[in-house]
Order: sequence, then structure tokens, then C-alpha cells
Amino acid sequence: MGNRKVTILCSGFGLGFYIPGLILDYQLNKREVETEVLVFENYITEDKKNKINGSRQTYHANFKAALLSARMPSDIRDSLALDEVAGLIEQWKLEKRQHFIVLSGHWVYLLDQLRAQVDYSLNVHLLYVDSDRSPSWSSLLKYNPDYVQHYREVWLYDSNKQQLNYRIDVSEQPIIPYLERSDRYVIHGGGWGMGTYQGKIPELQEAGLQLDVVAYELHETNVNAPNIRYYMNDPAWNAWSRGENGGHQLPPFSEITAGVEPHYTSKLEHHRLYDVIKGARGVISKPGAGSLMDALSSATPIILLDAFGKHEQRNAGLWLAYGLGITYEDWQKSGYSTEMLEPIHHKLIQQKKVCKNYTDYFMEETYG
Amino acid sequence: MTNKMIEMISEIKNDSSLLDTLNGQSNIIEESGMDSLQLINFILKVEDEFEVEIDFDDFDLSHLSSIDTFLHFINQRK
Repeated sequence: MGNRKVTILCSGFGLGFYIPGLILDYQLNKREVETEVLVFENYITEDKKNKINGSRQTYHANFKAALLSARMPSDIRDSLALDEVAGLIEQWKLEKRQHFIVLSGHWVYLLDQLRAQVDYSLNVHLLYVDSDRSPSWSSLLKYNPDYVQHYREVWLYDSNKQQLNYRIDVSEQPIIPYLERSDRYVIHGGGWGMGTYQGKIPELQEAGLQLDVVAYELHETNVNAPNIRYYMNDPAWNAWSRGENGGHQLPPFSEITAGVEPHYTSKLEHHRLYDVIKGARGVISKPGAGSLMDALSSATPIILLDAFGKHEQRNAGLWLAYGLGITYEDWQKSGYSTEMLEPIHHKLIQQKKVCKNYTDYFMEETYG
Repeated sequence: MTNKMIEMISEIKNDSSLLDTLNGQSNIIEESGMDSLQLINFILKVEDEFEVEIDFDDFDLSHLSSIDTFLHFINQRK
């Protein structure tokens, strides 16, 4: 008999592989399921971990470098901190851990080791939050082509089958009707502030749109700019450090206003940016996993910027095929039309009804 | 041009011994010792140095299978 505890295996490589894990953690706890969230970066060597912030800076400043990185397969086994990994697997064995939700392919090497050392079966959901394999999964596939055979693959969205299967409800709050929303647009570059979003801000300002901008660094904010509100995640935060309560926490978030020291706070149930997104006319962003999740949960249309890698291109293709978003170029040609976005909002509401809640699905599959 | 590329790798790695050990047939990924971020910086530097813009939609890692192969790829795009 295994342990009922669910181990949620995240990665800080992108917030899309981290925030959904913490949301699932919160929702499983509410269903009285014991959980533990682990972040992969705590199981790589210090020298590799120390390079992450450098990579993040490079990819933020140079989207081309980021795009190139998405095409670079790397064998993560070369980076593992072997003592920490062995200690973790020993702990899992002692506790007879059985249930896992996996958001990054890097973890599969550890699960393979656990599987080889225990005499009970594992219940592992490989949870794909993109509609195609993101870099950790595609690297895994390259070096371990049969990786799926012992585990259950769960595609929230599947670009190969052109299906949207499951949703993660970021919040249980009701969707805000479109016409009741403030006339504002959120614009961001995902967790690492990547992509072309910054270049769009001047033309959107010129068009008179009111923007909620997620800046990446303080010097990118211009708190005196008319019609713009700035927000930031706490720059001192990183996904692999634990918060005051000993657990991992959602990125502390603050509005940036003139003359006021930012006060970064986080909630347990969802990232505070979602509270801005759920009341916006649209989100202007690259089609990353977090953006798709937020859009489907809040029925907020995505205005699609350039994708980060093939998996995000596939996300965009799927979202457009279902009429759940619009390309930035088409929206711009329409004169930044709100009328084009409202039908997308209604399609998102319909699609949300069709997709199954992943937390419920996991509970049914695991505990019956 | 082969030597220029070897010099660039040597600079990124801060390892002058690579000037002697690398040649046109050397596999850039496997023999240079560059990690992924260094590799990315190398490719971006190559763009600047050789005044070429690489379209990463048609870029494949096989283009890095040797220094000469990468140079051939670059020259085709000049």
C-alpha cells in the first residue's frame, strides 16, 4: 500500500511549469489531500543553478537567444546533483511515495530510478501544460525515446489531435462578464519577461489604450506614463527558494507606483496577476502555458505575440483554430477592436464548459 | 574563417588550448566544451562577426556537427 500523498514536481525554468503546480497543490489541499511541491532546480549542481539567473537575463534581453535556447536539446543528467537526488529518492522510498504530478520532463530520470528500486507501482501523471512538448520534454524524448511507457501522459491541450481536454481553474471565482470589465489590456512576457511585448507598448499607448504592464526590471517602468499601470514580480524571488512557511510560494507581486516602495505579496490560491487579468479586455502575450491557463480560466481573450519555440507556436495554432485568441497583427489591423474580442470571450466560456477540470480528473483517477 | 571561429570559441571558453585542439572537422557541440548558454552566445557572436542573420526556423543542430559545416551554413546565407 503506497502513501496517499501527492508529490507535485515543478520546474522554475518557466512560470508555466511552476504556477500550475502550486495551484494544483492548493486545490488538492482543499480536497484534503496531502501534497508536497518540489522544484527541479534544487536537484542540480550549484554551478548549473548559479547560471540560471544569467540565462534568464540573457533571454529577457535577447529573444533571439531565448528562441535558440528552445532548440537546444540538453541531457539534464549531466547537471544532476547526485547526492541530493539519491537522498530524495531514498526519502520517497521510505515514505512509499506513489502519486506524482510532473510538470517538467527533467524529473522523469528521477522517477525512473525510483521505479527501478521499489516493488509497488507508481501513479505518475506527466502533465503537459503546452499543446506540444516543451524543451524539457523534447530533450527527454531525444535521450530517452521510450520514457512514456511507464507513466500516464495527460495533455491539457493536444495540438496533434487538435483537442482541448482539461483546464486548470486558476480561481473558483465566477467569470467577469465582458461588458463589466474595465477598458484595460494586460501585456506581459511570461515569467522571464521574454519576447516582443516591450516593443508593442509605444504603439498601444499611441492608440490610446490603457495598459497593465508586467515589467521585469524596475528601470523598465515609467510610472508617469499616462494610461499605464506597471506591475512586477519581486525580482529577489526565485522558484527554487522556499518562503517563510517552509513551502514554495507564488511569485510575490506588486503594483509599481511613483514614490511608493513596492510591497510584494503573494496569495496561496493563485498568482496576483490573475486578479488583473480576470477583469481585463484582453491579454497581450506570447502563447505560453500560463497564458493559456489564465485565458481559459478567466475567459480573457489572448492577443498573441510571437511564440517562444515550436511548442508555443503549436499553442498559438490550436488557440486560433478554436477561435480562442487573435494574432496581434490582426487585432492591430482591426484598429485594436474590442468588438473582435468579445466573441472570443464567449467562445472561451463555452470551451471552459467542455474541458474537464484537471484537479477533479486527478482525484477521480487516483482515489476513485 | 575556420581559424576565426576557433578563436571565438576559445575566447568564450577562456581556454587558449582550444586554438591547438580544434580544427575544421571538430564537432562544435561535443568537442568545444561550451554549455548551452555559451553555445547560444557563440552563435549570436557569429551572426555579428560574419554579418549574417540566421533564421532559426530553418536552423538545425546538425549545422553544428563541425566547424566547417557551420561555416558552410553561414556562407550560404551571406
